[in-house]
Amino acid sequence: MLEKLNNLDVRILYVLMVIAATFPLLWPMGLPLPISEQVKASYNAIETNIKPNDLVFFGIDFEPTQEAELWPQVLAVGRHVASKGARMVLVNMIAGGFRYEERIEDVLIKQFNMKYGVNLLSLPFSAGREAAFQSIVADFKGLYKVDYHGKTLTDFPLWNEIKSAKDFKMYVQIADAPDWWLRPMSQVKGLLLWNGTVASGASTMAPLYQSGQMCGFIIGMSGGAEYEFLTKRPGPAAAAMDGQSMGHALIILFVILGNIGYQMTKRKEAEAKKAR
Amino acid sequence: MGTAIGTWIGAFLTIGLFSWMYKENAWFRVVENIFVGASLGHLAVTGYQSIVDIAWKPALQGKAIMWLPLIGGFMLFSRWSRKYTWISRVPMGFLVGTTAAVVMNGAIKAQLIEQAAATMMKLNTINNIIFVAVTLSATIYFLFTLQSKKAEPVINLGKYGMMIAFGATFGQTVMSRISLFTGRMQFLLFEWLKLTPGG
Repeated sequence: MLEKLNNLDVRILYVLMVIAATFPLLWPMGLPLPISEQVKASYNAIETNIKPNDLVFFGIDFEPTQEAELWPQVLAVGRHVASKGARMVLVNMIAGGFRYEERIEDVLIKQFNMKYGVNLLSLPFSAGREAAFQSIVADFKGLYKVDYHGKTLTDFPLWNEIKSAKDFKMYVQIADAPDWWLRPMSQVKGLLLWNGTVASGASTMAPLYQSGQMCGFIIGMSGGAEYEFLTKRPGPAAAAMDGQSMGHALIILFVILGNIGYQMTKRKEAEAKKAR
Repeated sequence: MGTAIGTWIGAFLTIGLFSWMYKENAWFRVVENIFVGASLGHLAVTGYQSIVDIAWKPALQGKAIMWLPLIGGFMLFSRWSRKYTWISRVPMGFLVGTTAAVVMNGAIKAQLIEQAAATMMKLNTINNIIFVAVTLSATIYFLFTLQSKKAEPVINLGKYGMMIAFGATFGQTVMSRISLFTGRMQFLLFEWLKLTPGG
């Protein structure tokens, strides 16, 4: 039995994982999803701080590989910010993020009647990562000349109303974990920082939330799903959570079985050594 | 029509990558190379566009200072020549220096002072006591000159604290990978095969 477990074909584990994570997508099980205090606090940070006409930076910095975790966050948080009547400026510092900038712009215009150039603006990808963020802090208006669509920014009323990064109330950053945006942006006096990130990057960002440097922090697909429930618009993340939970349950089972197998092998080897 | 073709290409590439789970095969290799090639191509185009927009166009419009980064960038290519490789050290040194300066500027406040300040808390709850004890003991673990037997329990506490943190990181990584998989499965089932949840 133990031998069999130790030499199990890894493909069997893959098949089990495919079944565990896929079947609940087709036949939802309706597993409970409690909303954590952290997600509630993050929701409240936007709810209480953002007032109509406040300026909000909305950073979308992830590649398509993080779409499953971060796109639901962009949708849920973006809709929440828009519902507060804020003026939103979409920013993108990762080359692959422009696709999502375009998609959320479309959602905000169609669902919230936002007027492009008046209360919504999309800025183009800017290379340099931390250096580009530093440029936003030092000379925001000097960094950009045209918008995402290649149109001159001075043609838009919203652009002309902004003087510098200090005019913004909050920086909402949906990103694949790096902290290179936070170092420069934390230098802008009075700017509230809010972050949604991938689960694998949570350990990098969590201390920054715990220390109070960020007013909001949600993690991965589960964070997105909880946020969707708070905004009363269950979406792609909520739909995937049953599969996610079953996948996790299976991994836990694998880890327990693997450890039992390891301990038993170790004991068997020790006994064999003793017998010799 | 365009979307439908895109969906079929997406499905072809996704299943090609998943085919690795059975065994390494030509389909997987093709898809892997397409992924690497497309990523690099995209990066090259956006990088080129950034140079044109940020430096080249303003330089041509009379912003003379923009010639400096352009010349500096050009100098980096001298690394390809053994004879002139020294030229590349000038912009390289500049890049290292400015990057360090930009990072240090924010890092001292955001990641050193603020983080250290966050550990200075009232020891009035169990959570706070654990937080401070583990932070201190984990820091002491890295004082490699401290070999005293008396300090061992403290060092061990730091070690166990870090092991719990590594476990949490592992759990979060698993969560990320499964999210990635469920995301792709949602695409295959609902966008490509047009199935609906609940049959």
